[in-house]
Amino acid sequence: MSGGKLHKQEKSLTYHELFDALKAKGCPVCTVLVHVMQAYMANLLYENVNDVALRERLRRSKGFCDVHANLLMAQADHFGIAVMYEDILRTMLDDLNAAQFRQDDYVEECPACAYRNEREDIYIATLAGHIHDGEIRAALAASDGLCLPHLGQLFHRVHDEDLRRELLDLHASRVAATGKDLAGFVRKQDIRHKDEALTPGEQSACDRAIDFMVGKNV
Amino acid sequence: MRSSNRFYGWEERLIDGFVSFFSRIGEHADDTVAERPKFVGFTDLMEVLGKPSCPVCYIAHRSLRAFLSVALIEQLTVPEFREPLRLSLGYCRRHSEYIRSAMRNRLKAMGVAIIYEDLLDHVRESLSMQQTVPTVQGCPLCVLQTDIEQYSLQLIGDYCNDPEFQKRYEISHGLCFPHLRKIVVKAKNGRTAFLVQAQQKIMGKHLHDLAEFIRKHDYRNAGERMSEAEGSSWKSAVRFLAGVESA
Repeated sequence: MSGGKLHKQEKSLTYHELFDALKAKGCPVCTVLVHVMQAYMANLLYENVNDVALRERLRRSKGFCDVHANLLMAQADHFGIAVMYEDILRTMLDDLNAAQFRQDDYVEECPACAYRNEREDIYIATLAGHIHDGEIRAALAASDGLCLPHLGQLFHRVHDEDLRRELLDLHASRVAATGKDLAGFVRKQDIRHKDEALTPGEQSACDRAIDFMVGKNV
Repeated sequence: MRSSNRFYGWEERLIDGFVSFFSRIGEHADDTVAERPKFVGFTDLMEVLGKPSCPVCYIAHRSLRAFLSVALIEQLTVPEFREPLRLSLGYCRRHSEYIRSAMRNRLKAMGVAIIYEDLLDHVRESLSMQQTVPTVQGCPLCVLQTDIEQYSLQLIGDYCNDPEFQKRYEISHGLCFPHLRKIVVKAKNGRTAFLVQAQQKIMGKHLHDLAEFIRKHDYRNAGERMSEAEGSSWKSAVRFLAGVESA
């Protein structure tokens, strides 16, 4: 999708979420996804513990994957977690000896992963749809830029050659800046420069480099 | 035969040692348990079964941490370490968490900085010169973790009918669900019957603790004291199903 059709759409809530995230540090899509997944888990425990459809889904997926299990365990409502997982374990106990246990489809996709991927797709589509807007372009130009995985996803949805070049040039300059900070960090580990203080950019350079390469682990 | 560029140094020798050992076990697949050689891997497994974690998860995570401890300091100039990283553009999202933990050490942080400076340079070149977003290939730590898990599962599969192992396994935390499923799916008929049986008991214990945790949240039972196992039962259940290491 090149943004041609979506360009004419009204600005949705998703657009405003992204626009706000562009003012924060790091990849805006990752920033929004972190908020979205935290809200997903909080909402799940607050009002969906007894949701029949979700519980059925959790039975089929055997709970959450490791990444989302860690996110779940960081929530405060341990009682809700206990209720859901007691149910999953109880339904699984008899399966261990059954042939069904050995089948490929015994474990379905983690529902939180499915939700995350769906939201990620929507945010990338929104960004691609509004990338022609002066407002969002200016915000993107002033931001830290996208992480590499999200840049790749956006790049494949934008077909305008000038926009593509602009996106690549913008991110090449961000990468060069992080690289320069990393080089400064390495240089100041040398005994000859140990008295030189690290700049804030150099202090966070390793984290920023990893964030750029893989995005946030949500 | 494994490819020459995936492993290096001590890691390669360690894995080759495992391979040689397991190939010997394979020769005696139908022998009685008493005739099987027990080597350092078996002793390690017995020790790990005493940890509050899935033994395979524990061994894999410990090995990855140990590997990075060495690699980020001593292997920085080894092409066999750096070349796969250029192809994969660093580690995947999951394994990048290991890198972040390792960065608490100043020397390892410098190693990370050296590696990522090179990777960013490579990415910058792709973005500005080739006018394309570079694509990522498989994470080297995913490959290493899969191999370590396979060796550990094979070790458990080979010794699961050993009385010494069984005695220890019954009082352990058992395997996590993803690893239990892997070993059961791969094993020959009936070979892992003990593991399934023991796991049912372990899961029964989890369920009992969870039921008690839920019951004692009722105001009518609020005065009853909750045991440590009951108090952390929700966490144990999540870890068991997701295969999250507790250490």
